[in-house]
Amino acid sequence: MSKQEIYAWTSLLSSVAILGFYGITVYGLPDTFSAIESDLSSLFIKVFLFAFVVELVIGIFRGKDKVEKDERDELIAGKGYRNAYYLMGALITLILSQLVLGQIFEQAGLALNLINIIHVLVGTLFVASITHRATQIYFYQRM
Amino acid sequence: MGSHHISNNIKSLRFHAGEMTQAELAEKVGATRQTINAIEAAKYSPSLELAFKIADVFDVGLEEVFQYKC
Repeated sequence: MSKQEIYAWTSLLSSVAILGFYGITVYGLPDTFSAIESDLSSLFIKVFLFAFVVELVIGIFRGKDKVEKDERDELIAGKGYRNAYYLMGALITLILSQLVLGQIFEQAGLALNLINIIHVLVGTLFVASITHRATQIYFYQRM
Repeated sequence: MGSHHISNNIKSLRFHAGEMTQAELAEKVGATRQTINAIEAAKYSPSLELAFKIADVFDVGLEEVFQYKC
């Protein structure tokens, strides 16, 4: 596994952990799962710290690699950015369209207030990051 | 990438070049060992520049390293 592939995995783990922790902190879990809420938060923090430590260790011990990144890594990163861009564009368009088409969203019960819009926008950034890294991992396996 | 049509003789060329390792070839052409492995397995088609660099390492023509089949 190349250094860039390991970074893709650690970044994916970090993004999932941050998104999970953020989601629990902001919205919490349904009442039926409230007993495991603190355990889940703690798990997300541990996953984030694990990913951080792995990235640090890889940076130190594999820092002497002659070639860290080449054309294949850049091509795969490009595919990741493309998919993340498409997804983020679609989600932001959907979020902003409710400002214009507020009544339609209200009737469907999907209207968000300003605070929720900000939370969803922050979540969108992490979902885009997850898409980016997941795409990279997929193509590292395939090519 | 359409790499299924492109085959290569890199493994054989490495063997005849003093059993050169993938890591050694990667270092000579400025790529990672994983990229050389992907090229050898015909999973990834290299850029023209990298293909020429690989051919140059073995001191052979491009067509001796890579073959295209329709």
